[in-house]
Amino acid sequence: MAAAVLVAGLGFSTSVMALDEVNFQWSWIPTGFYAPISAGMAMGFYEDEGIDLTVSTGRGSGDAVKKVAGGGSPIGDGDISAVMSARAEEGAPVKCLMHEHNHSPHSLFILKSSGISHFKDLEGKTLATTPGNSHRNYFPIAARMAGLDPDTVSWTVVDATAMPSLLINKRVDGVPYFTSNASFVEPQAKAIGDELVIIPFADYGFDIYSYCIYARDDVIEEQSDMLQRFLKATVRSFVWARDNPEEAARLHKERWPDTKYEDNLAGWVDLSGNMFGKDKSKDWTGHYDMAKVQKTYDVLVESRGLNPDFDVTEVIHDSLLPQM
Amino acid sequence: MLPLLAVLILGVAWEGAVLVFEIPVYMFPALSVIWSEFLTNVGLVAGHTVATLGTVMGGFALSIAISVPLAVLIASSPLMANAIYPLLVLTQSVPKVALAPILVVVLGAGEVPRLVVTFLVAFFPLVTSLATGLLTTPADLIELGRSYKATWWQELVRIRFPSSVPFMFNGLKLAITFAVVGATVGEFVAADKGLGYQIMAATAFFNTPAAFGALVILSLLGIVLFQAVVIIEKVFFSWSTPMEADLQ
Repeated sequence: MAAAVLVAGLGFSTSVMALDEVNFQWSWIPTGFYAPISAGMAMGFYEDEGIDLTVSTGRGSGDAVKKVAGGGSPIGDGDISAVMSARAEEGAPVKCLMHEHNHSPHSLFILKSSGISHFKDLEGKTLATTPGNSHRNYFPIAARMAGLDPDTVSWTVVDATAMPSLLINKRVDGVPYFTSNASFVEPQAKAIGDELVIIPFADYGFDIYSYCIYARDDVIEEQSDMLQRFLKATVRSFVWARDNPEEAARLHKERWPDTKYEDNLAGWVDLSGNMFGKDKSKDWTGHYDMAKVQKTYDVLVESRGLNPDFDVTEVIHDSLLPQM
Repeated sequence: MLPLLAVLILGVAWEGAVLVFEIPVYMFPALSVIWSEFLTNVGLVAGHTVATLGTVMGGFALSIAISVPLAVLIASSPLMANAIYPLLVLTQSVPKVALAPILVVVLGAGEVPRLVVTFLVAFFPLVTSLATGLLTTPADLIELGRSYKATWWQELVRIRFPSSVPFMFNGLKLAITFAVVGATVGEFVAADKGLGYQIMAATAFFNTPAAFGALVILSLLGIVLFQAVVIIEKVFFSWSTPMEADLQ
């Protein structure tokens, strides 16, 4: 009996010790966007793959890329533009392992009372943005696609926390946000008897990749098995959260009590629509279409003046993804 | 009594202004709304407060541990003072908000960078106050000690340190207040808990009452810790504090 207990005890400790401790550096605070990861952790999907996952919140894509490239965490997430810029401009050793957004979630939030319904209506208007915001870089390209001369629009640079208030107080005509942020701003617009209107950049053919999960080169080289298991658990988490959005939002709230269930659900449903389609009919695998990767980089060359000769295959490594 | 009355008047003016001018909650929430939000999430706020308190106390302890030997070195000779002071000023010239993200990249996303930022914000007044205290020890006391053949160590511990207690507590009061600011800056940059994190997350989630609530708690934390230092000084070093009669 004692031996059995001892063996069982040893077996338990071995399995606990066998778990790889992995930190996942998020690019932002725990919005509903991250509900699948919280759900996967709560459901034990990562433990099933031998991973003891912890997460750290970030303060923007550039911030997260720096932390991962600097060795703080092996894996991170953020906009592919930050990964491409870091690699092409500074030689940061990071590569995207899978994409989360099939198409750009960049959009413009405006109030219905402004009468703006199309980019063409923005002539002579003022928009607010934060320093280094990717929307500001992409806007001229999306505007030209929509038939608007981008130079006819004025921008005012403000702190991120001031953006929604400026819109609600009608001090500016629009603010750029990812579509997933609507749940925070919509109630405020309703509170002043107005309505929030969202104009996605993608409506004008601005079709590029956005968020991805990336890792450092040395981790890809030396811990590819761990990364494969991490990706398998992550894909499983996304698919599970697609089928159980309410439960995913609830588990996210449980892990991050500062969040609201409704916001979590709205944030995840928005991302889920981007990945799997609004009716969940699209196949999402996380694998990259290299032609679209090149198109994404070309947009960065045009908007940020990145090196046009950079080989985009250097920034993609999706062969560790599970086959679906 | 008077301070309480002043706080009460401020509270009533705050509540009244929000009601009269119909200020939207996302811009400037009424005290009653902040209080209601606080009561709803009291456990959560307590958790964030404990996290911040831990960083404040850790950074404060680090400040003391490093400031005391530094102040002794500065007071030991004009040569050391000339060598150390420019470096101290250099650390204060660098904006900590700009330095914090770099520290996170170098030191990782754990507690260490927050402690270092807290230390960097808090230690300077402590070093300068203590060094000033050590250097302004009355000359007749030093002479007396030397006439009894006191060693360097005895002179430091039995004459210079006791003589500089009022200066040291001046520095400690400033340091504990700055430590609260430093911990908050650290949490703004990299943290998953703490009042600084709560302010940032609540603002991003458009929960302005929660952000204001965290601000109020931070202010209270600063006041309580400052008063704690005052009490320690009065209880353990009452001989060094001026009597009320002396102030009149």
